[in-house]
Amino acid sequence: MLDRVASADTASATGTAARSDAPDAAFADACLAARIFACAPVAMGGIHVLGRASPVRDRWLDVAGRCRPGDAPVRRIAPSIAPARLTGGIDVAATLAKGRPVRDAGLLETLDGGWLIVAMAERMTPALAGIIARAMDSHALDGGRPARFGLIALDESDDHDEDHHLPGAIADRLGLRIRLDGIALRGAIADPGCVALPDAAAIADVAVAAPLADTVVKATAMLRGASMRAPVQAMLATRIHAAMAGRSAAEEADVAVALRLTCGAAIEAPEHADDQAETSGDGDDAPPPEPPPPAEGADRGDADEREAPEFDPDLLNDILVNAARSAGLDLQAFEKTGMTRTRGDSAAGKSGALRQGARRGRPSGLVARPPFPGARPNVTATLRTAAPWQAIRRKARGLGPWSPGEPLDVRPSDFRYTRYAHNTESTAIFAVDASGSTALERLAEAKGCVEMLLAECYVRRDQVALVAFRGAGAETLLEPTRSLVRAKRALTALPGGGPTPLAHGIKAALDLSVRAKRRGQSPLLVMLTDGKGNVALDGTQDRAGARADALDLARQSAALGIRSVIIDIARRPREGARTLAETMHADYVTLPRADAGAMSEVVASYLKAP
Amino acid sequence: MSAPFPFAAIVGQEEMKQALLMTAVDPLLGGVLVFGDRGTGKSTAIRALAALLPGIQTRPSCLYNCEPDRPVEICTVCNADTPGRPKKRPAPVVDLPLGATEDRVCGALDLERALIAGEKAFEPGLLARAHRGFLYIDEVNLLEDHLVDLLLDVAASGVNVVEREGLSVRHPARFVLIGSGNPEEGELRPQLLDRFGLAVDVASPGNLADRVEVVRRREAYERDRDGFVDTYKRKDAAVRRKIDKARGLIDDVSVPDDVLELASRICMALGVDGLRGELTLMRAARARAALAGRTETQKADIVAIAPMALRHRLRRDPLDEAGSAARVERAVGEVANGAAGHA
Repeated sequence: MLDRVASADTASATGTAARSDAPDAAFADACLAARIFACAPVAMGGIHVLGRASPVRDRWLDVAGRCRPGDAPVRRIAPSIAPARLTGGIDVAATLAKGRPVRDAGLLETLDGGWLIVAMAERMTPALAGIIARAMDSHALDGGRPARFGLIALDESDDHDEDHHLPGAIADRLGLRIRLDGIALRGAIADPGCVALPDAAAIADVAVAAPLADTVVKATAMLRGASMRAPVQAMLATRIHAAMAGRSAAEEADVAVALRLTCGAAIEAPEHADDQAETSGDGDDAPPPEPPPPAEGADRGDADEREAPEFDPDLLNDILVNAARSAGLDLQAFEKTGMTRTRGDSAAGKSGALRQGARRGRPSGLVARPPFPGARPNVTATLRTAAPWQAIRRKARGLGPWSPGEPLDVRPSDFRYTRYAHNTESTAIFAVDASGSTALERLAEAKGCVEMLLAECYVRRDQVALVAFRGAGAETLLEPTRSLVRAKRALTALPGGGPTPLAHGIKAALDLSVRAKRRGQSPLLVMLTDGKGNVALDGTQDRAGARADALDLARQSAALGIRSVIIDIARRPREGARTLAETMHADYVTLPRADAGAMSEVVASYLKAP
Repeated sequence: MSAPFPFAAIVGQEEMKQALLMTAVDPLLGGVLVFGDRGTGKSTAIRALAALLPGIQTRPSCLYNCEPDRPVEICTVCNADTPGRPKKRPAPVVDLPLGATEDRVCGALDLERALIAGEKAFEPGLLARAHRGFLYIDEVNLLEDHLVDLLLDVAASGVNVVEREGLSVRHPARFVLIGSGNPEEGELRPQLLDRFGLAVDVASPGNLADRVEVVRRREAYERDRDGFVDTYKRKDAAVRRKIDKARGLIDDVSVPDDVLELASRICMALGVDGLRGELTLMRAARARAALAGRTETQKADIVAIAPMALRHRLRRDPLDEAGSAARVERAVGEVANGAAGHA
């Protein structure tokens, strides 16, 4: 009995059936991805590696490194690298010393034909991402110096942390994605030796029949949304996988593997696949999910129309159904609505919402004027600015060339100061009671309020988030965002009704507030509730427990010093919400009709007057 | 660098292609803003356009893209005692990277010459290189505020003024601004939004056949770039001729009164502030007529280009579910039908 529980746990944790000492299928997949990448690093773009630093990741990097051709250079960089180091420029010191221009070759240039590994890639700045993405597109730097490389992005972000994640510009250009979290070290067994990798000609010669190509295109549209890079990358991965197995035509198994590795979806290779490498971890305790009966759908007809009888339409359909399930979609609904689904989780970049003249925060560039009175100059940058002028100034003063030991001529115009950037946005976090009969109405008003705030928030640079709680828990419907477009997309369908897990709601909202605080923003928590919860944190329907939990969390909020407003939306306000507000040190507003206009006025007044 | 993906090989994306062609015909149109998801071919289209633009006359190795008979004061190449003979060269399409420093954009002290010869010389930046051509900013909505301010100023005045580090330089920088970005990642400042003449939304093709075709063409291109470009050579040449011809025509395109009136009515119906909307409508209509080989604009021109000329100028109405393009279309429909009723 205990055994079964334990094995079920491991299975759910890794998403695969990892038995002790058996090679982990997820790790085998990751190694396969590394080999596919090694075949065509430039065309494939790179690998998006999700997972914290761990022995498993080190082992994977080791396996990947062994696939790398011996002459290919490899460099590992930190995301804090100065962009100038990547692109290169004049080496001031060497030029002065030698008296002729000495170029400092950029890192990307020296890397031509090799691999670039970015550690902690989730902390990459948009600037760095921009430079790398452009080099990946044009395979060259400005001025035509070649820079072809494949990128391995080690992304250590966790799913709940929206503040730091791999910039979308990079993520979309990386063809392969693997997840190393949850793989046990003893399962991380690399297959012995490195198979000979096929060459470019063999890969290009692999034929992909029309039904297979259709499946790839459809599945990538479901899994990775609008991007047209995804199907191109998946097709290439299909070819490479077939070529590695020595085939000259792709099969269903190749497509399944390619989709799994390029989209990160759990797609099993079809049953009759002869290539066992990627299915080897399938134990009996985790049978592959039984696909629902194939739909009498358009895609079956599609496959039949073409003359490629050797492909089993059922298998192709299974792949699609699996893909649809991974994307949380109904295949038929998807086919009806067409290909226009976009994933809501695209990276929310943060444009320059940074307070200029900040005294703290992270350094963001150099300026010639003190950013605030009494700022201390940055000595290194000042000397660097002064260096090129030495020859000019000495000439003007009738002196000969500078030699070591002589004083430098530094003038006021050379002074450089470090500019600090520091967020001063506010984030309004709405926690809305979506339970009971009036929920829909209330949610609609809250949604209206969110959109109205966003419509004017541009001026104030505020962000808005929305949490709804109902039934068994709370759900973050809208992560903090400043984008009206995004809010509209996330808020099109709002669920309502059921019991009231007030404590869950406060907890989710507090989590968001704490994250906003960590980001340097000032959160404002807006609760729309009547203060009467009936689900405790442990999920039981228990009024007393629910109340105690809610008040506990309210005290926690007060201790954290989070500014909050409780808007009482009960028809006849009673004690519940007021007590909660007092415990939370929150302001208390009664708004029995809770209409969007009045609400946004209340919230805006708080945001304007911190 | 190898040949870019051919413009004619881009599947679909008609609205974006039309907008790009129109700015190529009339650089004064004010540029294009392309909004859409990643991987929908924004950058591909813009880089492809570069190959089709009519070339400019300038002297070889001139760093400011001077017009041969009106050189910039500081240009040492064109002001030499025996300046070289002007030659035709492709119109510049300059990429402005997100992480570019102010020095890179505006120009700064020429380090090389300062270090070696001890000379104080100005090294022109990206703005100088973009003069008489296109300036492309990918992810324009993520650009740092101080660079946005700088670009707005230069785009409005057509002159880049550098006053720092003991340098005092001014040179013309007239360019067509093309921006692209994903609105979900942060919105654009309204001041910058308004600066763009046209705005288009792009999405990847919605049907399977087109998507498969995109993948096929991309694969063919990756396999044999030069060969692929060759197969589209004639189609690309046809587009180039179309632009050339339209450029010759555009000064002669007339705008009849009823077309003018329609434009004004649409702007009034939508409550577009200022005259910029109407002016853009007129210019865009003329560019469209010229591309079609006509010398007179028609009401159909206005109807066709109204969404891209006006959608980014509307005041935002957060409670209107439909996109701004739909609002423009609705207004155009109402006004056009009303106008037809009057006639």
